[in-house]
Amino acid sequence: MKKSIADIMAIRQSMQSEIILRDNVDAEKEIHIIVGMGTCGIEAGAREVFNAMVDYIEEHDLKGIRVTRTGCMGDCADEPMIEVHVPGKEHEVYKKVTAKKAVEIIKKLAK
Amino acid sequence: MDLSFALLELASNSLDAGATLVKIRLRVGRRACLKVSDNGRGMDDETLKRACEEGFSGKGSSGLGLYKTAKYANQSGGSLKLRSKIGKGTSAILKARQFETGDMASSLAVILDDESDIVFKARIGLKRIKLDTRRLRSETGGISLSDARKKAVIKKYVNENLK
Repeated sequence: MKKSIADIMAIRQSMQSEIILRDNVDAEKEIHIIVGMGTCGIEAGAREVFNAMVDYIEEHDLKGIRVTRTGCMGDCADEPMIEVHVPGKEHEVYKKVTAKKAVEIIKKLAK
Repeated sequence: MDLSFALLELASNSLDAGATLVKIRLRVGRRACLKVSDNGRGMDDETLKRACEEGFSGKGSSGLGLYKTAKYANQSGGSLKLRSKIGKGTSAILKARQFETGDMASSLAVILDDESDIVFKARIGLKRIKLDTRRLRSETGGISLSDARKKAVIKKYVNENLK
């Protein structure tokens, strides 16, 4: 078996419990977190912030949270910055976020 | 800076250039070679010539990303070479002699989303991995790679296979 096919199979297996059947959160209910990932953000620790959220969400099996990147958010001195979009609410912007603060934000959202 | 941050800088540029496909090839042995190529909007000759200048940006950003990436490549005894064609895309080849590989899985988690596809082929020492999100999507019934839990699964998979 080609390595690439084996890889796909392995990931698919890991995702068995993750596949959309069990994961049918309404798109309208999804929370979306956007992390500024320009060079300024990356240097200020945006990758660590991003991954702290991803890891926490996985560890606590929180469904329906999208975490994506964007380029420079225009306020380099306040990076890392994140935007939190909760359906039906005004979006919130957090500045100078650390990995610890990011996890606190997720905890608050999960309540 | 390490290779994983260089990957993040280069792939971020690809995504900011509207790429729908980013191909990443990484070879790490005594030397390292990282190639990131995309089908984004590309750069004209003048922009390409100035792309690695400190403070120069073709997209209204700080103009530090490619400058720092090129500086890192040079300081590590290697180089950063860019090729680009308007409307076709850009490719960047980074070569390094003294380097740290860094946390590849964390950089990949950042660049995975539903707007673009990533092909990541890496050989680090004897370990190899290939991740093609086009196949992953079709084989799993179109899962969302913007979803944090899916990113976490892929991170674990990359870590298990590269460490």
